[in-house]
Amino acid sequence: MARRHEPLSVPATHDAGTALHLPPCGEVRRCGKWRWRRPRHGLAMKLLPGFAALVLIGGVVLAGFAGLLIAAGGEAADLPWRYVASVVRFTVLQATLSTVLSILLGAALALALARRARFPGRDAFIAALNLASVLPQVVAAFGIVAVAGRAGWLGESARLVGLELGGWIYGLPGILIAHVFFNAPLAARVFLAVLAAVPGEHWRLAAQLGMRPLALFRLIDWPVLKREAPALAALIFLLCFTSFAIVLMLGGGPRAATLEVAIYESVRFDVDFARAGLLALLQVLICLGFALPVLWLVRRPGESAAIGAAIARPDTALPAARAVDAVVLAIAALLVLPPLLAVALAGIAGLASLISADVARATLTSFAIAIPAALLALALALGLAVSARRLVASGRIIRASAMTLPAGLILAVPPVALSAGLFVVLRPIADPFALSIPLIILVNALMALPFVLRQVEPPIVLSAERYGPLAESLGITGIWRLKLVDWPILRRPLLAALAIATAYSLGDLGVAAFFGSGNLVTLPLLLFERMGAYRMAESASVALLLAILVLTLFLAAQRWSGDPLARSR
Amino acid sequence: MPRFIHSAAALSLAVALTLALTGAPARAEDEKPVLTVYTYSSFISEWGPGGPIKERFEAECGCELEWVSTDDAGTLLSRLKLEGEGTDADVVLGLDTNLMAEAEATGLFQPHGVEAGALELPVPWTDATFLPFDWGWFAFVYDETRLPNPPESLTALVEAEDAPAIVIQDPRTSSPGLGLLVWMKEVFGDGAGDAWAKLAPKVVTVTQGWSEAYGLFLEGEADMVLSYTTSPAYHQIVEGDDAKKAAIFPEGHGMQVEVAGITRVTDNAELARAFLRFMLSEPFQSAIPERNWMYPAGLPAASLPPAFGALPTPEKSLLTAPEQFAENRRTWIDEWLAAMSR
Repeated sequence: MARRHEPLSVPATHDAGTALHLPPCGEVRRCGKWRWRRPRHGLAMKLLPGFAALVLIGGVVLAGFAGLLIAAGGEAADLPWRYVASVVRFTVLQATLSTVLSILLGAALALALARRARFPGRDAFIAALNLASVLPQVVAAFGIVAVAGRAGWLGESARLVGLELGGWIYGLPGILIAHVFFNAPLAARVFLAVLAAVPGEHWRLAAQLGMRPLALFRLIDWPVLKREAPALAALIFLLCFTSFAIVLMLGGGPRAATLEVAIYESVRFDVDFARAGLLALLQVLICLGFALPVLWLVRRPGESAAIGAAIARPDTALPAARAVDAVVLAIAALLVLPPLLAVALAGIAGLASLISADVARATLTSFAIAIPAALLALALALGLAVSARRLVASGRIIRASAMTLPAGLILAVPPVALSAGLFVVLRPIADPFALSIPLIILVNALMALPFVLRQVEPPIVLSAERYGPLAESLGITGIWRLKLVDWPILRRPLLAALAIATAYSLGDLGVAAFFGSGNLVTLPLLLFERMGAYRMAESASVALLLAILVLTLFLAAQRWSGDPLARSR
Repeated sequence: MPRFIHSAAALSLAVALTLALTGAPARAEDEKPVLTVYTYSSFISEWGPGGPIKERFEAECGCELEWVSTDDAGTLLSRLKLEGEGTDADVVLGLDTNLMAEAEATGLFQPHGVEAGALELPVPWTDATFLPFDWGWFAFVYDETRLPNPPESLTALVEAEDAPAIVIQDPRTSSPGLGLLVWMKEVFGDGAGDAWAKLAPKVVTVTQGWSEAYGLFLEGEADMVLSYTTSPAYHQIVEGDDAKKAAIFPEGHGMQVEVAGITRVTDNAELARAFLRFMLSEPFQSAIPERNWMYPAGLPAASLPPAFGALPTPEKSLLTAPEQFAENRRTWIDEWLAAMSR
């Protein structure tokens, strides 16, 4: 596929009158012959940031497991294998379906948004999509139920015309809807970012050649989507595999459960850490089993230099494309907007309860955790991505994927087990209360890392593939390379990634389970506490506040960074 | 590029360190003895009883009461087990009858040694380690404007063809969920499996915790929800809503009793005992009804808020002995899983 579009960029760069005139990479491996920077300290030194990040991730996970092992104190765990097998079977089914649906809708949505670079409310719509993907699970579940539940808007309207929908949502449909609600926007966000990074020359040339929309999709969009899809699918599969509260709540019965349910049970009711550890290990291994093949699926078509000018896609005017995009946007809007609206409406009744010292304190605590966590996540993601791009540069594609894959696997470690394990390991060293904030920051950063990485890795690799050789030949290195070469390409994705990481940390409960001290109440915790005290309306208001904060964050990030597609005309 | 990474890393490290240094709770340096009480987080949340209780106890004990919380009762026990002999807890408050046997088995508690006097409990209490501070009957709660004719017995709920839709909690993850499991077992004995299979089609969904189930009920997703007989009091007192009722069943109702105990390793045993005595006195007990929405274990019915006094009560209380429960929990859950999946 890469070979097909190679002629596109060369004349385009010519025609742009720049000095960039590089033989394009045909096959991925041939790119390996291209050394952009002569390694001065050897490759190993260059990979230091990535390895440092990996050591941190590995250290936290291993410490968690070691803690569980210590807590188990040599007790042997016995697992109810038949039960585990049936749970895993159902989980694989729902996670696979959820992933496929999310990726398909996400890709269609990204294409539609890329083609429709301007329509009223586009910015707000994208921010709403982003919001959907970071809402706390229970909040989203209530939003979905308010729309599609037995007494939801859908059911009530159907009743008006004499149709009884009943509780159709409770079961696999509900689980799939909820998972697509979270993950299609996630997929769309990542796909949209890589589509936005397609060089303008491609579009200009495509227009000059009079390419039809289908050819355009096949030659330009498809290779780009295909490049990101495997890693993204692995991430979404992992999220659905470990999803917990929502699977129970919308699953309709005990058959709809994940391994996470059994792990939770073994920590809280059995108080059996051996079993918890074994189940957690099993979950990590299964996830690894599903994620590893991704390494061999990843094929990165080489990129060549581009002028970086924004040029509009030529396939926006066609009526058929218009119709398809309208349908896709409508489906996405119907999936995402009504539940968000329901969340907002539910929050209005208890708005007065937001004027309280508890809410102010929780908001500050949440930001005090989320901002450092986001910076740390971004630093780790940059470390991994920079090392991965060095590996890509030297032709080691599989190793490059291996470098970034473990970042996602942290999501397979059950938070309650991780929390218990870390507690055991740290307690002899220090007072867990004193460590609670740094620890929650660390774990939140690690949990946000996979999302941040999906956002920043593509542009980092692109920047090197496009401008690495030129920068090298001109002797631009260090801070100047950062300023002149990387920054213009990275500014947007980095800001977006920072907003995303902050949003994930704001909405995340993290490992507070064992480390709370009563003073440490974040917004999601406050939300749950209020729910547990019958204060459903007041809890919904906290959800609304959280949603408004996250939405503002995304809109601000969009404003500062300037949406590339919105300007391309 | 590396420069950028370095500065980003340095910045986040600096922020984290600052937070670590400033965020760590400063230990009071005065001479007052500190009593450390572990509890679950909602007990000390903004509307929970923890705040007033701390104030009232400190007014009379000449000490400082330090609450330490985990997110729920299950985690409370896990945390205690993880800490073992090294625990900082003097008192653990908030375990329930479902967790008592496991807690006893850790060997981390000592006899409470408090002369409890007459407890306001519908069942006799003889445990030497744990003292109850509040309790409640499990019940199916409904809204009479939506369900004018609720089933008149648990059997009717199970058997009826057109019985109302219910939402319950998962016994694998929730205390009320376990409570219903035990309740069904007490009423139906060996027939519990069949009873669950008959109930299954009426179950809209099974949630992780009480909050989600109750929220779904309030949203109108189910006609009845598994909660407590005291739930209607909340709606009456706080919302002025008289329509929420608990269905009272003649077979009797399962119970939850919340308890506290003194750890074996405490070096404040006297103070801890003083706290347990305080726990059964009026200043503590009066904070329970309208802040924890349970029946206080040491307050006579006459002293309850009127809305509580007016609640209908079951004739019969069903409470399985903690040891028997701990022994059978696994089997009962497996039976439940099999029956619900039939």
